[in-house]
Amino acid sequence: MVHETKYAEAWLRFRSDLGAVAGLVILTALVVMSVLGPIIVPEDPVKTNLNRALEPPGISGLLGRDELGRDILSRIVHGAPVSLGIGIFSVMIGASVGVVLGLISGYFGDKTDTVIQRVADVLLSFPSILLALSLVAALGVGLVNVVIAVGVSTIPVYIKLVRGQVLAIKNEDFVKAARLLGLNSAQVMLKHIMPNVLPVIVVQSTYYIGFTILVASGLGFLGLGVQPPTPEWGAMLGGGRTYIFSAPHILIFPGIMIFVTILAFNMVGDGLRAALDPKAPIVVKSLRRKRHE
Amino acid sequence: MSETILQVEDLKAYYFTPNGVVKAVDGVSFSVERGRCLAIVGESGCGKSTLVSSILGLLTPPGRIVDGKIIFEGQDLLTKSQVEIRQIRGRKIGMVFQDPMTFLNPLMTSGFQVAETLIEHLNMPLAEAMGKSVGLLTDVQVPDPNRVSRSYPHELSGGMRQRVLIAISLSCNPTLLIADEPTSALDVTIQSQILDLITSFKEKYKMAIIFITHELAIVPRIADEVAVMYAGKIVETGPVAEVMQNPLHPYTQALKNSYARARKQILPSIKGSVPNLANPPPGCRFHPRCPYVFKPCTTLEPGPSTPHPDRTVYCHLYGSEDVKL
Amino acid sequence: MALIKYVLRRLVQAVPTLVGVALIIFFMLRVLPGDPAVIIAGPEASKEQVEEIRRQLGLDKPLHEQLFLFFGDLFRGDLGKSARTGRPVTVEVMEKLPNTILLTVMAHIIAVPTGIVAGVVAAIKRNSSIGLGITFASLFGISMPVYWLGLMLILVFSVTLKLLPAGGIGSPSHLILPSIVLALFLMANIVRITKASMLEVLGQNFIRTARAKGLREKVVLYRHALKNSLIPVITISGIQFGSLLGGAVLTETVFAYPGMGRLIVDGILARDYPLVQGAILIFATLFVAVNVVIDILYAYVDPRVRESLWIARP
Repeated sequence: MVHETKYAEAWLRFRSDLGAVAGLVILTALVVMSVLGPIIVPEDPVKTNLNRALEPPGISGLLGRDELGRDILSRIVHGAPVSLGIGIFSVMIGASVGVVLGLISGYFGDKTDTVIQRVADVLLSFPSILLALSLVAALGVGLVNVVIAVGVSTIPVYIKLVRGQVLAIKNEDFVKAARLLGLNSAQVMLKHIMPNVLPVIVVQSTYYIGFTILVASGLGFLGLGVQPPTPEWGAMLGGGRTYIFSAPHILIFPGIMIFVTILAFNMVGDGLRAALDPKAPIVVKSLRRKRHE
Repeated sequence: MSETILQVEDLKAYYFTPNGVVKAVDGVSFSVERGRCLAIVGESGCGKSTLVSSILGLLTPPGRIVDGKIIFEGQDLLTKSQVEIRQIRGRKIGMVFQDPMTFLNPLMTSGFQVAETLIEHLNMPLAEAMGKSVGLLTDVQVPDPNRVSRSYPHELSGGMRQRVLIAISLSCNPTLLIADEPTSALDVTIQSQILDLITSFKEKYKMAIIFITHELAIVPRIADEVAVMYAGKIVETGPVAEVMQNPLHPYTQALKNSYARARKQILPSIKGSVPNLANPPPGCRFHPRCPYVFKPCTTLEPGPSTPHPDRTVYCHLYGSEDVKL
Repeated sequence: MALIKYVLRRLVQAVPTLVGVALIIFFMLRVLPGDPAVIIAGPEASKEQVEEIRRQLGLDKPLHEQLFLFFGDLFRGDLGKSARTGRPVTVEVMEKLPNTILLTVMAHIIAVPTGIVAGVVAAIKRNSSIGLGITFASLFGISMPVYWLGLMLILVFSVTLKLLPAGGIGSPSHLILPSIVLALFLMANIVRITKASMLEVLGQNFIRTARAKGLREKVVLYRHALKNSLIPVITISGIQFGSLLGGAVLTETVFAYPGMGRLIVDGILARDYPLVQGAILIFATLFVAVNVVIDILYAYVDPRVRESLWIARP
């Protein structure tokens, strides 16, 4: 199957989608922030300074100081790689396990399929945050465990998604042809089925990176995620909660960062989904209303 | 006294896309009389669906009717308002689509889907409409019409679903029936039954029928006249028997030959491929594939010629009276 | 008739799911690393204390025996006692569950009708400013961290304007902010799904038939398109409803609302394993029940589903 032209077309579609491009720009900025920020930013995000606790923005530092006197701007900048890292790694865990299971489940069918599906259904019975919470309860808190817990909670959706796609194309002629040519199951799955499943995986993963960052920050907010002093936006909100009446500035900026990050991933995800859908015609989207004669 | 039900004059419908203007229907003219069936034959991509959408007033942007007249029962539909066209659609012009599975609402019973036009166009109360709907299902020779009426589309076989679609189209006693490849999705045996059914309605109710298909083989079974369409234009019209026996236009001849060769089980094909309607060849659109191509074909579009009465062909071979540029 | 058979089939299928859920909960706390007895006893506990706790929880017995006892207790409705308060877990849960149900219902009453209407408008008037506005708003809605929005609303309404209470429970006004916060998030999802679904349905062939029949556009949209579009919306709303029965953990924490979410989180923080286990079990059972209801509703709306053996919801 020829995929090259399909991806070139998809890129054209993506490029003309304002929202998607905007999202991509934001994400690039975030990556730059993660890489360069910690070098540029003046203060140590971990160093406390109780004399200057809760100072509002302007007096010191661009964004003020938190309840332990740490510079919020530094913490936000250093928090970017933390959140992005959590998002990417947890999705990698979830996707690798989920996609493989989904492929196996869909391709081999029968008992294997039933068993895997039942387990996935049961896992899906739990809302993500509760599942992640339970795993954290069992494993303990901290960065690594958060990544594992959140990553595992994404597995069932990948299984269902991939399995659905596999079932849809399992009986297509090109798959049968591949089998007739003597390719074994693994080869068929990798070389022929995977390329067609890939778009769906890519789109879902994009959404999921945003989602896992959201869940992880929720855990942080509850005090059950990444532990201080490691700067994590959700944990920053959690720590500053009690100061809502006295020093609201602690709460505003980390929240904005989380929101913007997830918004960007969602916009890119929407753009990717529209771009990779072969049924969508190539139409230039614009915010201006089309003129009618 | 054959009365012309539908007369299409020089219809042009184009799609205005960011990649260019697609001239899907480019100067099409034909007519259908009461109690007669006109078959429009063409391959996919020749503009048939656009033609149908245009007649029904269902052409949506970026498509637009640019020029021409669609005269139905003496009145030009293109001068009518949306509301007026909507009242004609489904009531005086019935439509049968190709694939009965996807063209029926899966969440509604067949009976209701047939009755709906009666309720909306004729203001019939529900109970009466449902009763009439069962009657219509009987007319289309559905076995056990009461059960079928209560059934959902997925519970019926392909042939039965197509009959339901036909019943829908006939519900308000239309004067014109347009059937867009109604048998393409069906088995050969069912195909045959459906064709007979449609012919019987033509005779019983003296309806005008436009039957669109890409299969030349079906045409003699159902049509009285035939119009051959290629790349957005009609290339030949005439009575079925004559056109089939003695095709004038090279494209029609090629179609007939490939059909004949198929019967002898030689893989049929016409050299070349269907042109891109956004950028059609200059002059006669068929010229790149025509075995008889000569000088005027590459630059001048052929106008209509009538080498015999009743027969019209658009080809330089027959020396046209007015040559369009 | 097919519907009734489907309902029965579905109810029967729920049983193994429930068993599976119970098994997973059982194993999660016992098989994963970390010794619950040690954690519950705390770092200063003596060996005897740890052993005592281990015996109380039945953790000293072999695994299969624990499993047997576990299910035995379940059948008798005995979920154990909270390690922190000593009260039966069922009592603890029943105190908080009604609050959660109230909040969930309120949030859905706000979110579902508004969301569906907004989604339909966004689909039909896709290129107009109102359509685009709704689309953007829904994008914002799913990207917004719920708890942050709650904090911001508290900032505006409680701190600055002093209009509404910042948390707790007791009067209708305590419900307003949490319900709105939850509803906004629910709504955003519903709008997106409704819009996508509506657009997909409008592109389908039977809509062409409906238009070819000469039906008024309103009829085409509402009688033909809408019902078909609502199918995935039912699924999503149902799942959201079921999930929230486990407590809107974050919202409850922000608003200090005594519901299931906070119960579970506090339980985890206090290492109150019996409570956490019991609460999650109750929630999971309710969730399975809600899923059964969704499936039945789905089959009622879409007759094609009534024949199917497995549930394959969009």
